[in-house]
Amino acid sequence: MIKAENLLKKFGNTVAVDIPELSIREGEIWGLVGNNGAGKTTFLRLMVDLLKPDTGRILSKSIPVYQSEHWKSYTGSFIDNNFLIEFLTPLEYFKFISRIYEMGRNDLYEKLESYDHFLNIKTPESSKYIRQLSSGEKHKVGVIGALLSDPEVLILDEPFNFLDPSSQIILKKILGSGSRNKTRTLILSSHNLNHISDICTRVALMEKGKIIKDFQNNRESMSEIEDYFRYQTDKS
Amino acid sequence: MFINFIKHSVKSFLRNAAFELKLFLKVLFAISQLYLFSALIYLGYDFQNVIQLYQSTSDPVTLFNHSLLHICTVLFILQVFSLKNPLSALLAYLHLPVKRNKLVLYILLMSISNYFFIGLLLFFVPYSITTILPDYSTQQFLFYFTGIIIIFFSVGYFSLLIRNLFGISFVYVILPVLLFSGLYFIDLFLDISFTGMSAFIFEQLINKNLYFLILLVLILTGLLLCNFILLKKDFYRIYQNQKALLNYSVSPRSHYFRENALFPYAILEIRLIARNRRPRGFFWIAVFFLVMFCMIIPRADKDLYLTFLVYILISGMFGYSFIQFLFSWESSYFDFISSAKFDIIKYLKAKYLIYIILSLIVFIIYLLVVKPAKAEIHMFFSALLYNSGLGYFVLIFMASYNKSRIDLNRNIFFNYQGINSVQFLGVILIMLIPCLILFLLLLWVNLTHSLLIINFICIVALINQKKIWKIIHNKLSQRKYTNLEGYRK
Repeated sequence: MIKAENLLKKFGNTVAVDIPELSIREGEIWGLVGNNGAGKTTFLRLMVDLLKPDTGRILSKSIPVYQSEHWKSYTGSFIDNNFLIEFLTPLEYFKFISRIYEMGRNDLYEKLESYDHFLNIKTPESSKYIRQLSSGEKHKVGVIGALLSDPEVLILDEPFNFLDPSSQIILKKILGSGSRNKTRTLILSSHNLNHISDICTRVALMEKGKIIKDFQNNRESMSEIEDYFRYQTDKS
Repeated sequence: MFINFIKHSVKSFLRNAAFELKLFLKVLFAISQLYLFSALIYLGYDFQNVIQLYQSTSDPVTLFNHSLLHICTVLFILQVFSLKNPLSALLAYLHLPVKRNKLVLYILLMSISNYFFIGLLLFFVPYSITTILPDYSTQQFLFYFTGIIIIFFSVGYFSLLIRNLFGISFVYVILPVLLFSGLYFIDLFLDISFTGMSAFIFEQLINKNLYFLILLVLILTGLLLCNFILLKKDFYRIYQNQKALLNYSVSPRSHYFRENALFPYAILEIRLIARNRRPRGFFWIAVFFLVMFCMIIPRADKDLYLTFLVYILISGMFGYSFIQFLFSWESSYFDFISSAKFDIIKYLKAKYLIYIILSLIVFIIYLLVVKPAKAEIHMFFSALLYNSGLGYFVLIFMASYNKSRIDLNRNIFFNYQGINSVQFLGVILIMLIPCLILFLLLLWVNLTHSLLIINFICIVALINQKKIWKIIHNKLSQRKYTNLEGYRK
């Protein structure tokens, strides 16, 4: 579904991403973990064509993302607040997304109703502009915006950040439900190993732009990652 | 069968979602409609006294007859741009054993049973009875009445024809534009005005010119025939694909927006301007300068080049104010624009249309407030055409080099964020170039011809705008990563 080939991105002399080969299959939930500055967000930005790689390329359904814009019709993403149109209310933002993805009005309201327990758009809070919302609420709006078109590929950067514990649990359910029946390929990054281990089928560990471990999610692999971080902490 | 159709139409009107209002609003709506219709009837009945309240010297017959073509133009525009294609109401009957000719005849009947047409008749019938009949013979009255009614019907069927052609392709918008531009230029250069033509029609009818009446009947018959043939063909085309079906269920205006999906983008742009301090500030500053320029506007006979420059500035005030900061306005959500299924060209087209509409509003206000001479109108029109056909496109192209961020909700004063000297100089150059062209052309030909040459160049650019948008798109794609990097800073 998604492939990276000889991917290299540098900022000055610093290597941000260096991935010679990576393949994410259809229906996989691929979690990316790593310390701050490991290159996770840069990699996700490369995936959605927000950065130009120095060498190599990212392929979505075998087509380079910079070559065609077709991938946008089946890909949803939320990386940071630059994905939000902050002078709209949440409902206006969702309506706008539904219009550009050619969704029907009923379809939109059905979808929003299904995410009601995560973000209720009928509360007085939702009549505010997005810029007036709290960080957590903004984050929820961004995540729902990415989910709204029911994309085949969903790319989320730190989706659990700013969320309260209940919302984290609900989001895990939402993300898991779409991918459980293998209809959606989910790519997400997080600092939180627990969240990653709870929902991902495959986990990759990134450090200094390189993927140093990439394996199926099971108890051994997760304890191996935990050991890695413990070792790093002890070393420093 | 016709009775059933009419019953269904009445039910469809009364059960329209728009009427699902509170009782108070329903009553208010009904009273306002009643008031409007009564006012029209009264205006027609007592036209002489009503106009004497405002223009004591005007003769009501002369006033109406001189305004006839203006009235027809307004009727045409209102019908074309705000009415649904009546075919959409008959989709359900296509599967029933009803003769298609009957359906077409019903459409022809219904297409003139609209709000605007009925409103006009409510005025015209009492007007002609109380104002024309007492002063002329019955025969003259009948000639006049029949002729004018035929003209109104022709306008109705011409608008239906255009709406039908819109269903095939929006390119046919060129037909009414050509017609009105033709009339405008006839007025401007041949000194045959709308008023003169209206007076001519009145004279022919009141003098019982049978040939003229036959000509009007022939025009109406031709329009009816064209509509008949086209509508019959439409029945076959309508189910060819879903898109065609969609085209028929909306008015041409919304069809254009739906077909080009510009509407959500246009709304986004309006919200961007209205809800953020800095763009809102720019808007009000533009309004302030417009008012100021309208007060001190130079006259063409005194300073030709300065006048042309001021016209370019005034007609493009909103466009120049906003387009020079294009994409910096969007910098806070450009990541979304670049990674979602966001059609940047449609967004630009929506912006472009909004600025053209604003320029047209300025043009109309200018005509009403300044009351310029014909040559000045042509000059202003040329400036407007230059901005729409070339100026805005060049500025949009240049905007692809903007890579500085603008925080939308900051104050406008003493805020230099996003201000780019290259863009600023670019705007000045874009405004000076047509003055330079005018200067060069005036060495060879007179002012009218020089302006016509500039008009021609702009029209050629407008016709080729598809290519221009493609060039802009390519440049934007090239600059995408550099700009994104700038916006994140």
